[in-house]
Amino acid sequence: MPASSSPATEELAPNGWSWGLLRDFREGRTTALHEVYQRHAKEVTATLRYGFSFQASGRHHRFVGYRSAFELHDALHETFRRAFEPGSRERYDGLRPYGPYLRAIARNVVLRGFRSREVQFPEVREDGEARGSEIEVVDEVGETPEQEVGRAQVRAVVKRFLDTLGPDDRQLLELRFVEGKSQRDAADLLGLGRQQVRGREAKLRQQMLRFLRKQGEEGLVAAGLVLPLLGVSLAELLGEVLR
Amino acid sequence: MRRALGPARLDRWIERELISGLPPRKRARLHEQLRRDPQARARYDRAVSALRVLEGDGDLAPSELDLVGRWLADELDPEGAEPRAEGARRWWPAMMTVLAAALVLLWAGPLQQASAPWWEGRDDGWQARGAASTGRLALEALCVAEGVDAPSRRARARECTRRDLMGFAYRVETGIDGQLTLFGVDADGDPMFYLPTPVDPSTPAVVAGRWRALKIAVRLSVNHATGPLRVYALVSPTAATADEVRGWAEQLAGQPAAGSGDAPWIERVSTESLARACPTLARCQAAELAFTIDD
Repeated sequence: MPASSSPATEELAPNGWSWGLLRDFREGRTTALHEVYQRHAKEVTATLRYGFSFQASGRHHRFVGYRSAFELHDALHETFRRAFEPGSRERYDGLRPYGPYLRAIARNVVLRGFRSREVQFPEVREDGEARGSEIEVVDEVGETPEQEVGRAQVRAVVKRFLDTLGPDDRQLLELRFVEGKSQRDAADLLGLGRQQVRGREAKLRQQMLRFLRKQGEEGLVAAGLVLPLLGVSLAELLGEVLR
Repeated sequence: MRRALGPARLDRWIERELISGLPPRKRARLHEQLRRDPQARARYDRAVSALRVLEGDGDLAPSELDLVGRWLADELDPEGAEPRAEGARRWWPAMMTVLAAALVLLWAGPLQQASAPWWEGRDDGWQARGAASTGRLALEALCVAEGVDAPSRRARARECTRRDLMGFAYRVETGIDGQLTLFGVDADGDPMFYLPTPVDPSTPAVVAGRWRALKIAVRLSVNHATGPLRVYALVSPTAATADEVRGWAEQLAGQPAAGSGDAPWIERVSTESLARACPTLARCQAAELAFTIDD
């Protein structure tokens, strides 16, 4: 049921949502859950991507954030799956902001993995006995050289893919992902329908992934040649292609 | 533990998952492999990395949030992700109404001769070949938009999107009898079970003489990949089993689609795999067709 427009419900709930959204969320209505996901997915992603500090068994630890996109997606999904379970929804009273509540769930998702590693790798005392669960997570700072090279290689492939595109497709990418226009605004500027823009975007993504696949390992150039591309944005890549 | 996807199929599944989403069962299989296999995960991560560059944000592409949103949406609305067999059975009465209208055209129009279909010359191919004599079994796939209660809804021959329901019609010449088996191989190389299915081993006995609609309707949004779909039909003295279908589909998935002049599909799979359902090729009729499922 959509939110009512009566004066009483126009006021916001303490957590900043409309009362209608809060009610529909607690009832588990799909549209409300979708809206809540849209509102909070980015901040939860940031927690999972950039990490956080925590204490375990009296020690300080830092979770450095998921480096793997799949692990990030998996944890993001698990966070919202737990948050959207009937019991969790019903327990949420709407008095506290929802973001910190979600971030706490995200942390629990991460710590579950940490605890399972503790079980797998217990610290051993000199006498050979396991010392409870005091395991320190190794803090990796920044990307490993392999990750850096991998990212550079991917950028080089994307640049080569951009080389293959016609001006219309490049203009669409520029509007959408460099200028950050919405699909609707980009459609207006290009004289297209929104569905057409959406379809062309999906097609471009697909073409690019196929290009990436075709290039395969053999298409990846030597790291030394592409390292200068590290940190290059799409705008710069497009600029290079257009020169 | 299920068998791991090979690199080529893994890449295709990753691509499909990132662009339009896999059906839940395939997604679960992909995720299982991604969780346990670091190399598979690296392939996934590399594809996401490229999307991030393309979408202008080095850390997170908007399509990544859409992707996880799809996973959640599928869990919240599992209706759209029901196994195909149940969906097919539920929809077939409505599909039959539309097919009946389409079959009038098939009967009254130039399709009376299975060997000279009206779509001859189109890119999407039609092949109807029997082992002993060409053209004794013909097959057609017809698609309609879901919600086929509207009487004016038009059936389209091999013009299908993932939003459609697909039905089938066949025709065998007088004197041919046996059980009809029908299966597909989708763009991912996966077997698509129509008749029989792993949960329903029944297959119909063919009735000769004119075009007839089959009592199945397939929701293409379930399990079918966007891209080429090949459909294979067999009339044989004994009904095929789902395991036999799986074996044939696996062999055919590794071969290119048949072109004009190619041997019928039953001559392109191993004789051992056919031996039970089809003890001699002369007693079997085969047909195949290929077309594209659009988004």
